[in-house]
Amino acid sequence: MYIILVFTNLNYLLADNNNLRNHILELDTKDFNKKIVSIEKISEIKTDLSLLTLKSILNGKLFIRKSDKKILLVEVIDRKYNAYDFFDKKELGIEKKRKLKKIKINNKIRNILNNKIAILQLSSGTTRQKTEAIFDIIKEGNQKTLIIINELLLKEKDKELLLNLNLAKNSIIARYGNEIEKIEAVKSLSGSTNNDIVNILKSIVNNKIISENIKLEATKSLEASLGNIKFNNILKTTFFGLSLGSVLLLAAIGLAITFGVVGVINMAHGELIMIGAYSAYVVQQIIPNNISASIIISIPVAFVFTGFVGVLIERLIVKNLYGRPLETLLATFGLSLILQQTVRSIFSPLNKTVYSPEWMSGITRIGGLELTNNRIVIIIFTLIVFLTVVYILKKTLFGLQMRAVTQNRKMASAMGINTKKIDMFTFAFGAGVAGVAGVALSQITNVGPNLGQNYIIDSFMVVVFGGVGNLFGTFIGAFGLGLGNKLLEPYVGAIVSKIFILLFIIIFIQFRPKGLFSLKGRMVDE
Amino acid sequence: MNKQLFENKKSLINNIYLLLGDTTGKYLITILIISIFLLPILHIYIPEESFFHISSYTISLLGKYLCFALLALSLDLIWGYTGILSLGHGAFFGLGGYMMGMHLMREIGDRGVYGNSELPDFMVFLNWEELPWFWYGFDSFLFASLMVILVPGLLAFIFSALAFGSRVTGVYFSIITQALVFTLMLAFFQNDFGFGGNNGLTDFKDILGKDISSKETRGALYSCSAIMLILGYLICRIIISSKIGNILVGIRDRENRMRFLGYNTTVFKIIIFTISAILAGIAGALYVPQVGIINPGEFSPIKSIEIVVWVALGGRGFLYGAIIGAIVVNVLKSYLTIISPEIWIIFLGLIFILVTIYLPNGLTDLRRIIKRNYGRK
Repeated sequence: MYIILVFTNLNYLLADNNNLRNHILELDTKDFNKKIVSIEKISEIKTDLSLLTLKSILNGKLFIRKSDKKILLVEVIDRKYNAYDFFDKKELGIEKKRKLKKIKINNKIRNILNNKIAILQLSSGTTRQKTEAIFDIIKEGNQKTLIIINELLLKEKDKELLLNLNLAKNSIIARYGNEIEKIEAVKSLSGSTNNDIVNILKSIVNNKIISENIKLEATKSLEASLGNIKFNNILKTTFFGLSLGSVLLLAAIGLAITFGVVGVINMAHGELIMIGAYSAYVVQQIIPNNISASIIISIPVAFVFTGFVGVLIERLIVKNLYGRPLETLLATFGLSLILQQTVRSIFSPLNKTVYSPEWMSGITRIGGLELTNNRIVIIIFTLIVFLTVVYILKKTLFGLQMRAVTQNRKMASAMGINTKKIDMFTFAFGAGVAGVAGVALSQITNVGPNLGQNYIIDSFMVVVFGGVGNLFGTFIGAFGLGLGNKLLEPYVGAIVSKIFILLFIIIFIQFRPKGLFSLKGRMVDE
Repeated sequence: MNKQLFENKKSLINNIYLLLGDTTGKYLITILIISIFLLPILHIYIPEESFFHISSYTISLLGKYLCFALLALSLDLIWGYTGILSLGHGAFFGLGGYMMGMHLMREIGDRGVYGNSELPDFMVFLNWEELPWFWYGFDSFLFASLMVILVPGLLAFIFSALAFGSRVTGVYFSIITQALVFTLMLAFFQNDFGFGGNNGLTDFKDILGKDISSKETRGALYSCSAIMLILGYLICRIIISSKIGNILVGIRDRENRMRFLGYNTTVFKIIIFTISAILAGIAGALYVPQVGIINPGEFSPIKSIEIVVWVALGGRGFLYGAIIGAIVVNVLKSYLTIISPEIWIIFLGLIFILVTIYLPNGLTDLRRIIKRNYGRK
């Protein structure tokens, strides 16, 4: 019984494939109308292969071998034609161009293909593919697609998809329905933030033939939509600002510890971030099969390794220069050059890619907003790192001793704290946090020897702006500067907004030389 | 009245005496004075086959070193004697260079690629209709020279008046100077900022009506650089050996005590910072015609930090140390980058670390160590 079922099923599939082959061969004609007919037929065979066929025609990858009418998928790499069998995906090696025939299409067919692909994806595929397909339909929909949408509306259970399907339905009715239908449809489109729907509404408002009633409704809906889009844009800017702020905060926390607590200017801080990012790369090379695990493992690895580098820096260089901040600045700058060059020699000057785990890639839709997952993860991760650092400083013995040394070194020493040891551990701790920041940054930027350089000036600005020796100030400083930068960006452009922010800080420092939140005292500082 | 004048004269003589009291500086100035005449003569009149001939490449290179030496001198004035570390002195050097570059661009006239006598090439390329207002007047060499002094000077004056006025000191000041130079770099990289963007200003043809690549011009430019370096050195010497110099050192060593003693340290710091910036600007203006290009790279923070290395290596607070440091580091740079750029970067990093830890007074420490060891024998 079972065997027969499987067998008939297989037979059915084979029949489908045979049909598909015939239709594809029919495409080998110069008459575009005939091609359209074949494409219609192909799209009626609702299998994965027919979807692939349509897609590869659209991308210009579908070829027919002239000698034996074999259907091939061809990847063109460096002008070489790497052919695969269309049905069983076997590699057939490099083919010569003149022995192949490409299935050519024009713009009209391209539109049809897009539409058909969208419809096929609607009937199968994941929720995300379906959503994408619906948005394609909104762009190119007509009465025929309306029928399909109506069918789908009956079958579909996912709420979000239903919502989008209704949107697509109304967008089509708004263009092709009768007057009463149109008014209803236009009303229901009100407030949508989809770009294509806004365009449809605009075209209705500007159309001279359409009756005033519809226009009136369309204008209302359009205003609501534009209002929503404006609101969404503000949310989006805020999100980008928070995202930039979290990156700045990550880069600056380590510096806030070494600069704020120990009073050491570490110009090699950026390079510690870079080393952290390279740790993530190395860990991923060791466990290449599990990207998720490699990223999570690389966090403690980066912390320990950069922390160790921090100890070395403290012992070999910084220790000799305590109390001479300008000299420390120069020596650590020299170190940053050496570290950069070392990494360049070991890993080559080319950028390395650290792959992102699946849960970090992709997009989350909240209302009309599209937020990239990696940015969301980094915002959350930054908050975790920040809170951990605050916890360690405020609630642990190490943190207590660290603060004691910062406030009054001699007194702390008299109370039995080994201040030299605390200095070393604090420096190592700051370095370790920089390494962790590097792992996070490896997920959003390229990992290269110059990675750190891009963050060092920004980090200093954040720490100085927020107030040295105050982690809360660093927090406010980072998010303040991040938001400010992104709020300015739409008006003046990315670089100019950065210039404005830098100028703002330079002027700000003149009025509050110790930053936003400074330790207050009556001492004349030396 | 006459008596006063006489006394002034006396103090001037006194000053000159102080100038001559500095032995190493005296040798250095003597060498420079000789080179003003000797090098251009060797370059222009000695035939190229001769051993004593100096090629145009060499003389431009030497001229470049002297510009760097003047720049280092200007940094030593504020870092070595007043304790203000500027990590953005490239800003003033670059601005001076851009002012001169703008004049040289106007000198090109209609000999550019597009043959437009009204606009420089890059503006034609960007479809600009007319000359921006800030390019007015740069046709005149005199105006440009004035700007070479005014623009860096004014920027330094405003910047330092703000910073020192609100008592931004030490590391904070260093970091905001770095922010300043970084900001300028971002701005000058912008195409619509009006200074040629990424490519900067280049393809110069003439200076004061003379072909910029001719032997005579190159010789003259070298001599100008040497003369300016000597003048800069003397100006710094005079400042240092006067009473002001003592106040500056006081500020360096314990600023608050100076304040309590009744000195308005802010004014002194602003003045010395402005003078230093003007010297840096002049160095930039002499540098541009000799290398034939000025671009936003001059504003990159690392270039500004390199200046600090020159002074640190030569020994800060000696003036001649800055000159020697600038020349030594740049000669090394020229040779090592030819061998391998990687080695140069490692080497530069090592100079930073070793000098700051072991030779806080740079090469002058080395001399003392050698002397001491010889003394024992």
